[in-house]
Amino acid sequence: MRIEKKLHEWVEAGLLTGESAAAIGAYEQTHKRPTFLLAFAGLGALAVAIGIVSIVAANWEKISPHAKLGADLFVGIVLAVALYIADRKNRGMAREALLVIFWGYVIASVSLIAQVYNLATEPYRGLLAWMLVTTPVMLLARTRFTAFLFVSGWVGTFIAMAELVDDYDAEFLVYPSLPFLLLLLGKWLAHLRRHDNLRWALEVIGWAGIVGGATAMQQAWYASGRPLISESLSGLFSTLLLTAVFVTVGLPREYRVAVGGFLVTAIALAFAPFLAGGDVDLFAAFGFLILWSWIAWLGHSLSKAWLYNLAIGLLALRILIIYFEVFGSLLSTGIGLVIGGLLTLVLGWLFSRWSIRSSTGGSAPMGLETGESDA
Amino acid sequence: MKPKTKALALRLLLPLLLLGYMIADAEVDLRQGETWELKIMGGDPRDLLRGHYVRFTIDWNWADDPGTCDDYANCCVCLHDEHGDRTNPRVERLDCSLAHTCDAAIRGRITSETTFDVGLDRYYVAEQLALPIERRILEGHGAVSVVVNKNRNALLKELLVDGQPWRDWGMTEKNPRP
Repeated sequence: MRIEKKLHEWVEAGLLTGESAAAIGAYEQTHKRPTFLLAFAGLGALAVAIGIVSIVAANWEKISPHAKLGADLFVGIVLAVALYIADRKNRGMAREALLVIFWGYVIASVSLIAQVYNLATEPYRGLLAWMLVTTPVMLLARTRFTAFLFVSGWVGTFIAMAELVDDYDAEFLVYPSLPFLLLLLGKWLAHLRRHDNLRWALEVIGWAGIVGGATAMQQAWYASGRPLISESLSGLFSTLLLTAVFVTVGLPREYRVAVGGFLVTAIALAFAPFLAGGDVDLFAAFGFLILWSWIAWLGHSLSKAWLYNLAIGLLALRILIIYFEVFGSLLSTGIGLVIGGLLTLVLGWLFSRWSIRSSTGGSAPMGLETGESDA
Repeated sequence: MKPKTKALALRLLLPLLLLGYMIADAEVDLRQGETWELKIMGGDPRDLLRGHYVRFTIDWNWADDPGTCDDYANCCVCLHDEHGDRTNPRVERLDCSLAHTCDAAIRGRITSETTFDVGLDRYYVAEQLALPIERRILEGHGAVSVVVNKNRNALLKELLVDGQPWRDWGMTEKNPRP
């Protein structure tokens, strides 16, 4: 439906002939991916995997431990054979569903064995063993959904392994490094031109980690404490900056300033509360505003309408929250809300005007509705 | 078999081999190790992923001088079988390199003056019996039988309540004698 609407608009605008539009429409129709079907299959497979884990947690009292283990291994063999056949016969959807179920089955089985024999080892050992032995088979994934699950599994394992780190300062080496590590891995896969879906999952989770982490770190301004200036933090700060530079290099020139600048800003803002010692509430708000203003500009530069709109929405919301945080009496809060609301409207109008002026051909980019004609 | 087919088969076999190894390793330990009975105390909340279990700490029967370890990375608790039945042994801490003087030794780490963590702190039970069992353990009627393997690691074999395996105790609880 969306492509037909756009084709009609382009024909009306004289960009395409009727015949070209019909040919494009016919081509898209025959090459359409069954997105909803794939999504349902993925969700169904995930539900089965989670269901298996839940069944393990029920502790089947009436079945002997050896019978449980025997049945579990039998299920594993059946799944492996089914997956083998689906892959050989190139049954795409069945293959992906079985892959997710098999992946979930392995961790469920590790849990079952731990339960039967009362193995009380640290959780990270089980997770690490699970991810290591399932990585070769999960690299066969051909959908973004499966790749996303797989990368999430590794992220969860990595976070569980952080318990190995006792030192308070050293904890900061683990959590901030993870999203950047994911971006580096994504860049390496892009260079190899392999595992496109895996690369996508690494980048999505990596970027989400950087944005979420930098945003969450602004809460550290509210905490009082001594500044954490240590060698490990300085080393990490430099490493992350270098990583940001490396990630940015190789991007198209027009994106380098926006993306590179955002990464540097996110790193600086995340570390700032710890270098300053926290306890400066106002900076929490300003840090958030600076970060998400840059994300709005990033959305504009990359022509990602959803990112731009999300950033503007969150900025507006945060401005309103500032005034709830800062002011006390009803009158002051009311005046603050009026000023905050006006500021939000001005911000939105300025961004809108800026995006119209900076777009080529005078038309509003990214589907922004302006109600004005720039002809 | 074609290389690609072989590679796929190996990828699918690897997780199954891990599971098989885990089961075999545990079974060998249970059959070959010595069984000891240790008193337990305490209890704690449950974990959704692992099922339903009771948590406990081992109530070590410390010798007058509990000893210490010079090498914290290689520390053992030394078991002395005073009664000849491997029940509630007298224990002391020492470096694992000196464990040949003990009737058995279990690897672990010193966590406080009177505790020693050997990685045994939970046992899986039926959900409906978890609370009654926890209560009995808190009242001092709990014990665990553990198997100590040649690598000086301990594996839980059975949870004992009032001297009985917890399943048997549970049956008695459901059908009390008049």
